[in-house]
Amino acid sequence: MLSAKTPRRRFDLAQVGLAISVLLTCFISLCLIPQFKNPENLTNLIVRLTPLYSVALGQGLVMLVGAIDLSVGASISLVTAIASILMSRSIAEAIIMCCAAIFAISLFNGIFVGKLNFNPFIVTLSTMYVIKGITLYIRPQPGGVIPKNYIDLVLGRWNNIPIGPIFYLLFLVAIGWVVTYKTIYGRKMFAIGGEKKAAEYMGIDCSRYMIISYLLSGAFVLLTGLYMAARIGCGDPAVGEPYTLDSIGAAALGGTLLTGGKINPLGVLWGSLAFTLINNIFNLLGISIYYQYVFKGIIIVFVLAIPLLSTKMKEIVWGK
Amino acid sequence: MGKIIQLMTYSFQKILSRFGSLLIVYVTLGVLLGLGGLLKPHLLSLGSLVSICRWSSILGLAAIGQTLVMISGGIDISVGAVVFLVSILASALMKGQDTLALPISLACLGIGVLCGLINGIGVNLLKIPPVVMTLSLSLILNGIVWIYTGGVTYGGPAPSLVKFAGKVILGVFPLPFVVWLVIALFFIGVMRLTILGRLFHAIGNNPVAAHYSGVNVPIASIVGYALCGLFSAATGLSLLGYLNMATLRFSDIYTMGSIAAAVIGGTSFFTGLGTISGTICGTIIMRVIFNLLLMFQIPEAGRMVANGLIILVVVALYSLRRR
Repeated sequence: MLSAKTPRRRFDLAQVGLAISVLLTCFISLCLIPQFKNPENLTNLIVRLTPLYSVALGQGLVMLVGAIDLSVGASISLVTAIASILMSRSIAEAIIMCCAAIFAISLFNGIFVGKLNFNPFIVTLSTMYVIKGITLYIRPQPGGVIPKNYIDLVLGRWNNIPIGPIFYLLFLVAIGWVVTYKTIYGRKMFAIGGEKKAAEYMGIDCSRYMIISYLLSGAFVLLTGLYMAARIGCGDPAVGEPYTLDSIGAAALGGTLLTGGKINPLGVLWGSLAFTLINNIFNLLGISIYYQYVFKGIIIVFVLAIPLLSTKMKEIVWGK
Repeated sequence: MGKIIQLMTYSFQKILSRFGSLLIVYVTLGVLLGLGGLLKPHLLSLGSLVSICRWSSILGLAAIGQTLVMISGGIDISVGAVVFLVSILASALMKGQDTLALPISLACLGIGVLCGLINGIGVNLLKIPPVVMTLSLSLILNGIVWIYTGGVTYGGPAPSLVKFAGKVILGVFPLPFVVWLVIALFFIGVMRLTILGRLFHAIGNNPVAAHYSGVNVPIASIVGYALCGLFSAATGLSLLGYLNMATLRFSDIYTMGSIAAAVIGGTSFFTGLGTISGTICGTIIMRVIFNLLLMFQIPEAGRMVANGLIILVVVALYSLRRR
């Protein structure tokens, strides 16, 4: 019988290093960039951190079972597109439609990957293109209306403090912590990601739990999409695109292994913060967004090479 | 009489098992052309067929590269970005001058090889999963293109390149199509007859076994990625020549199209199986479907959906056949 108790975690040097470098970056930008400590900019940081963390956490849960979801970005765009079309009529109806769409997509991904054992990259890449096409069909250009009261509800501010995003962020941190460390479901996901065959022989229904992790990721994507709709105030067929790679990068930076079996929800938060900081600092310095593409691409490659580089470093330092 | 029928069914089964998936692919193309011709007779007109050949040759070059990478156990998402980068770079550097055509073309092919090398090194030496590595590179390349151009395309292709891409020999065969077929034939030979071809199949099927049989897996795989980069760059040049200008919006189509063409042609993911001849047919099938969708006036969004669905359905069908 599996217990849901937290296993003893070893002190993770990489996580501490990440946290220190993020804080150092914050400190340096505080000293060098005068606009960085404006209340407006700090608000902006949180408003942008929340959606990235939400997607990255979902991506991390999928990566935990050894799969990947490349369709998250397209799904976010789809949610904003549906919301921008239906919300002017009825907010509840729009949210239900978005739920239905995302549920169908993630169930499809989950069944193909978990149950039918298709390669997750191929399945989610194909669904990504299908979703992109559908989104472009229903909303070819950015547009549509998101009702004011919905925006106020989601991005609710009190004395210029973004209450809504902060609450959502705290909620996410709590959910991530509880799901991964305090539930039997989380334990089983660790087991599946660690060694799928062994998990199967232990009597874990792997396909079921893989479908569930895709559904969970879908739930986070749905929330992100609804949040983004409020943030940009319209529907945009391209708004989600950067989130696919950013979420993989942020999750990997936070110590989630692409091969599965390892995740640290707080690490993912640090990883997301690092990506948000990159964006923010580049914007404050007035550097074109396309340099950010190049820079982020390089960082993602570097981060994903860290597991290998660190073992090589250990070999060099301590010998084989 | 009974014996003859028995012999015929036996030989039919033998042909099917020998050329199994390849036969299915070519029959599919025939059926598709037949059905399409019934629905839209214009599809089978000479002009339409020539256009299908011409466009197949443009996508087809990248599809050959993609097939090589997929046979050797990887995948290249940066094909579209390389096509994009090369066509824009070539247009900006050639400035419509004939003297620059050859050196710039060669330089662009070199850039393609370089991109492929970066992918190969990332995947094999840094152990980054192929999808993520090539996706990151495509992000980087797209960024570079936008920084370089600022959203405006400069210059134009050299007239000789345009002439080459637009030339038709014997009145019906576009020159790029013939060149494509020759290159494809050459690579069919490489895959069947040379050690390199054997290596691609071996490392795609089981890299661990290949490693223990003495294959230098990273080198073979990097060669595959480099070839894919080379072919993507060639697609970029040929596209630039045919369109006679560079445009800023065809990144995704070539990535998805090349994967779809290879998959339709029977190349499967991570099993080391696949043929160049299948990919040729897969490319033509893709183009026929594309032209049909155009004739039925389906917008670009619908074509994107069709691309994704085709890959899913074909992968599903092939996996059913394996079971």
